[in-house]
Amino acid sequence: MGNPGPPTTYWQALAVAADQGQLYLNDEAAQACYSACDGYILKLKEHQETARRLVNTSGWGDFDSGKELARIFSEKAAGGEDNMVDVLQSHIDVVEEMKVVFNKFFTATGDVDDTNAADVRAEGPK
Amino acid sequence: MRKRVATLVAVATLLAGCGDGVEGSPVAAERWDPCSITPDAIAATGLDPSYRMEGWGEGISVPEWASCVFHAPGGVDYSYGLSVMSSIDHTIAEARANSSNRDGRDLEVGGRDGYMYKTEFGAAIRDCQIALDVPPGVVVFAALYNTADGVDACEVVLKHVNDLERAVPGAPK
Repeated sequence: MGNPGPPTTYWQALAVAADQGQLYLNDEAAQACYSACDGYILKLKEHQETARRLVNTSGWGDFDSGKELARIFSEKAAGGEDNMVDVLQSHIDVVEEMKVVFNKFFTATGDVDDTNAADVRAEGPK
Repeated sequence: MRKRVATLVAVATLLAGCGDGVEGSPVAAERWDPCSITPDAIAATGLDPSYRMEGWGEGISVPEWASCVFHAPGGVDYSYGLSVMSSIDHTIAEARANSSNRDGRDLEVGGRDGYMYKTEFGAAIRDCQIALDVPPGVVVFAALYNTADGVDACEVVLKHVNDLERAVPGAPK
């Protein structure tokens, strides 16, 4: 097929590559990416809340036609198949996976350095 | 007598002049702005005082509802949002009559008539709402829970409504 598969799987694979040392990003860039991810997640969550709240407002009113309209809109915005709230959630889940990858480059670097230093001290020069 | 009327008019004019730019207590037909809840009150009820989303966001117009959203602490990892909406075009009776509102139950908060219910749209957010009778309209508090940690969204919204109800105008004496 040639498709990279579902996006979460793709980022999980990158996380594995980072663990194995096949993927590297300097910690400054990784931290910038990480905080950009946070900003993006907050936006997505706000849109999720707005979609859900729009559905809530459409439930008010007396007329049957209004209720029918509300039902149609609400299915698009939050309740039906491929509804907005759950679609946004799948985006949030992907960005969370991205954060995991970026996080490895600035929290793990220090740990790895320490481990290497300890190994070198323990084993000495060969 | 005529002089007294004239004096009253003068005083009224003077008061109106003083009223410019000063927040008075809302009169009956005025819609309450949920964003008038102070950051101090938000902190006191355990939410993040540094966050609020005023209105509906760019490009979205919902004329019948004024809106403000607050978040639980935790930055981007906040576990739930508290939506506060206010309308003078709708009443608590509509919330009771809406058949898509689940698990409805009546309650009283600070002497006000209230109605608690849930709605079910999508899996990502579970909610619990409390509509308060604020004549001539209604104020709706909603906990929008985005974290699957087993917390009861109804307990969350009830706590905040108990804390924040005094910010809503026109409480029964």
